[in-house]
Parts: sequence; C-alpha cells; structure tokens
Amino acid sequence: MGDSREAIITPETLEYLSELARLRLTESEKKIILRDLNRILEYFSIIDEVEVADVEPAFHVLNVSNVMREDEVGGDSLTQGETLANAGHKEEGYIKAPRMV
Amino acid sequence: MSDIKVKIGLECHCQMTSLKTKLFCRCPADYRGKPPNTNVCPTCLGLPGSLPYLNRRAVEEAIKVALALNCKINRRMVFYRKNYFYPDLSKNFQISQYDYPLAVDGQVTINVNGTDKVIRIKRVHIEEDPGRIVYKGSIESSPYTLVDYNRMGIALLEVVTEPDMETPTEAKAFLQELRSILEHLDVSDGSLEGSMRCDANISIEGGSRVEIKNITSFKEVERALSYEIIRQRNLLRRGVQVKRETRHWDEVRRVTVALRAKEEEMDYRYFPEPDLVPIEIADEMIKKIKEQLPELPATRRIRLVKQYGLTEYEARVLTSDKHLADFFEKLVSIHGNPKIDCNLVINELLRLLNEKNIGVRDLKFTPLEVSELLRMVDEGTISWKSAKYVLRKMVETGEHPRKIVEIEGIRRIASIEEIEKYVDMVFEKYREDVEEALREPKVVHKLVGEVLKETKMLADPKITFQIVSKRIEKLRELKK
Ligand SMILES: [Zn+2]
Repeated sequence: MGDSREAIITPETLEYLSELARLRLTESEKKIILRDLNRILEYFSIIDEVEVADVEPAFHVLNVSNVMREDEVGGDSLTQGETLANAGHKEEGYIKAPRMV
Repeated sequence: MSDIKVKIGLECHCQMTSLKTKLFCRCPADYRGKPPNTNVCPTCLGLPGSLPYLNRRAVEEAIKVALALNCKINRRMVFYRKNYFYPDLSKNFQISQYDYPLAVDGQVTINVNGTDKVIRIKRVHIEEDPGRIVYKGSIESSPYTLVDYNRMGIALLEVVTEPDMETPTEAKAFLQELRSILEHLDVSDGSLEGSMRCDANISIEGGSRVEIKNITSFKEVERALSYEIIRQRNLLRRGVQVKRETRHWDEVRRVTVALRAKEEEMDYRYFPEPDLVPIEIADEMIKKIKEQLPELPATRRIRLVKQYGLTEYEARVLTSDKHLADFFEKLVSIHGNPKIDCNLVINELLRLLNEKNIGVRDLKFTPLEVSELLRMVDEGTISWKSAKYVLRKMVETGEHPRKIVEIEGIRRIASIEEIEKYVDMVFEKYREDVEEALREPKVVHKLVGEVLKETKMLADPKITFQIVSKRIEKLRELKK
C-alpha cells in the first residue's frame, strides 16, 4: 500500500516539514516516516468522500462555548527550580538556547 | 521624498496591562522585575496535562478597544494554534487568532500638521505574549541566548492597520493616538517597558513589500521607517529591485538587517485550538460595554476646546497623552486659569518631561504644588521667569515650590525704591552706555538688561524698564 499509488507526502514535502519541526532525520527514518505519513493520510482521505457543502464547520468536539474564568491571581505557580528542572542548559535562572540570527 | 509614493501598514502588539492575571492561566500579569522563570505555571509553560482557561476580563477589555477603534465585533471568536519552533515559546505554539478574530474593519482618525486622515483598521485580535529572549551583547554577536518565560502568556492585543500611512510621521501619529486611546480606556499602560511593540510593512512605488520586525517601542518606529525608506530609495535609484523580505530593526546600530530566508519562510500551520471552546459574543454584552466606554481622546479634545476655550492645537497636544490631559484638568480645577495653566503644561512642563525623558506619572509633585507655584506668580511674589526656573527645580528635586523659592532666595523685586538703587549702580558702572542711550533709544534695553542681571533676574522687567527710561529722559532734558 502507498507505493503503487501517487503519494500524498513527497520526499520534498517531508523535507520541508522536518525543517519546520526542527527535526533532523536520517535516511532510514525518512523512509519509515514517509511510509507512515502516507498511510495515515490515505486513511484520512476517506473523509474527503463525505459531502460537506451544506454543513456548518465545527470548531470543537464539544457543543459548548464561553468557558471563561474571573481575573483573579491563584493557581499553581512554579519556583525557578521547578521551572528549570527539565532544562538541559541553564544559566543564572535562564534557559540557555542557541543563537537566533 | 514626497514624489515617490510610500505605503506603510502597522501591526501593533499591546499588552493589556490592567489585567491581574495572564490570558490563559492565573499567574500574575505583573511580570516585570521578577527573577527569571519565577512567574510561570504548568499552563503557561504548556506542560503535559495542563489546560488553558480564558480570562473573561481580557475578552471584555479587548471588546472595549475594538469598539473604541470603530470595529465590527465578530459574534463568534475562535482561538487558533500558531505553530512555530522558537525558544520564546516553550510549548512550540502560540495561542492566537486567525479566522474569526475578535473584530475587523475599524478606523482611527489621525492629525498631522492640522490635517485629518483616516487610517483603516484591518483587524483586532487577542493572543498570548511569547517569552523574553535575552541576548548576550548584541543580537548578532550573541554566542547563545537566554530565555525567560515570565512574560509568556501575558494577554496581548494585536491591532493591524491597512497600509494607509504615507510617512513615518503619520505612522508615529497613529501609534500615539492608539496609545492615548488604550490609556483612556485604561487597558494598557504605554509607559511600561515593552508594553507596546510593533512590526511595520513598507513598500515604495516600484518595489516589493518589506516587513520590519522587532520594533520594541513606539518611539523607535519613526526611526526604523525613515531608515528603511532611505535604504529602499537608494536601491531604486541605482536600479536595484527591492526584494520582498523580512528585516530586523537593530535598535543599537539603528539599521534594518535582512533575516535569513529560512527564518521568514514561516509556515505556521494554523488550526483551531482544541483546548479552548469558541466564544460567542452576545449583542447585550457589546451593548453593555459600549455604554460604559469612558471618554476617548477625540471627544475629550472637543470638550477641552469648548470647556476651557483652548485652541484645537492645545487640546491635541494635551490629549496625545492621557496623563498630561489629566494633569492639566486637575490643575485648572485648583488654579482656575485655563490659558495660563495650559501654557505651563504644554510648553514648560512638557518640554522638561521630554528633556528628562520621563512621563507625567514620574513627577514627584502633583497639580496642587504647581497651582501653588502659579499662585506665587499671581500674588506677585515671583516673576513668570522665576516660575519657570522653580518648575525645573521641582521636576529635578520634587521639592515644594515655596520651599525652593525660600531656599534660593527667589522673590520678585517690584519696589521702585529698591530697583532704583540697582539703577544707580548700573548708571555709575556703564557711563558710556548711558551717554549713548541719550542719543540712541535702543541702548536703553541694554541698560535694563544690566540692571536685571544685577538683581539676579529678580526685578520686575516692566518696572525696571520704566525706571530706566524715565531716568534717561530726565538726563536728556538736563542736557538741553
Ligand atoms: Zn501561568
């Protein structure tokens, strides 16, 4: 499945997606992901067959709206130690990240 | 500059600083001055298992702004995920709006050199502020960056204009009006660092649209745009095509820098935020907020002209900053002389504020003290000239005007007897000038100046002039 038909995700698209996701993939990973993504999207393409021209778009699975809270301070704030607990690189209470420009 | 058409559009990001909490969690909205990464919780960090919970007042405040900008409010508003991988967002997406934003199609009238101009507002939406990135040295030389998430999740209002501005001055005027509107609504305090930022897009006839990012204060906008116009015009003059690109405003070097293609080619892959349900905005809610809208700069301007007999220009200067207009109105309510009070505020006080680069609320005195100062002028205790000097001292020290006057020995010498003593001295000292003054009336002014100097500028200039003139007149009579 997937190889005989025209693929939805081309190797070029995968390249672009991995760029956006900041993921560096090995050749063998690319092969696997390409196959899996196409399988998933082919599966979803069944949905394309449904006629939806007259259907209102749904934004949420729940038929609920206007869930809001009052503007009062509270909740579980974290300490600096807790915030940085899983950070790989830190310096003076900051998280260290690569340069941008 | 005026022969080539320039089109400028702005994308303004304004923090709703009057809120107590962030947009989707109960962390305090007041993040400034806190140690890094201490004003956060699992929700604003986007830790697994946490859910965003929308701040009702953020929606109400945003509706206030949309109404004040004459926008159409959408009856249904939806939040979207804007996906991008950048260290300023720890959850790798920003909750923002896309289709179904809060409001569209508004307008704001600005005034440049006495001419009104309508700037159309394309949309207004609500989103969360990303974290703050700290550079080691400059943005380009920094070997790595440091991230502080205290700001992440602060409620932000994005106001996008149509490309209706033609000069950097117009862009500045728009931002000033927007800031004044937000301050009159008590939604955003523009004096807080980083509370109002913007991106600008600019195109010159014959070139492509260029976006300038990272203009961190409204003050910088005029500078960034002026630089960019010169850069683009120079390219066009040399026959080089202006590329469509995104550039970064370097505040330190005061130039725009091209970003690498990869950074601007963003594909945000927006999709509706599954953790937040849609918000239906009922007519009654809009009606209620509309009824409670406070006076806005445009209406205040008209009232100031009517109520105090100010000129259109004076009213405009005052309302360009809500706190300046507040200061003036408070002063008038105590001192009660609109012409003099306005003159003092928009000329003397504003000049001092600009010179010291501070805001009205940084002053260490209130309109009450200024009214005391003006009363001393009214009483004839000090001259207007001295009053200006005392005001400067008040700005610098915060000391009470009467105390400054006392300590510095400032008073107004109006007694004819006392001034005559100084006149005697000067006439003795400057005999040649006195001789000349007998033939040449202009020289009288020089003598008056010398007398004033002798009194350390405390003598009343009018009375001094009268005395000196009379003396010269008498001498002339004697010579005959
Ligand atoms: Zn939080």
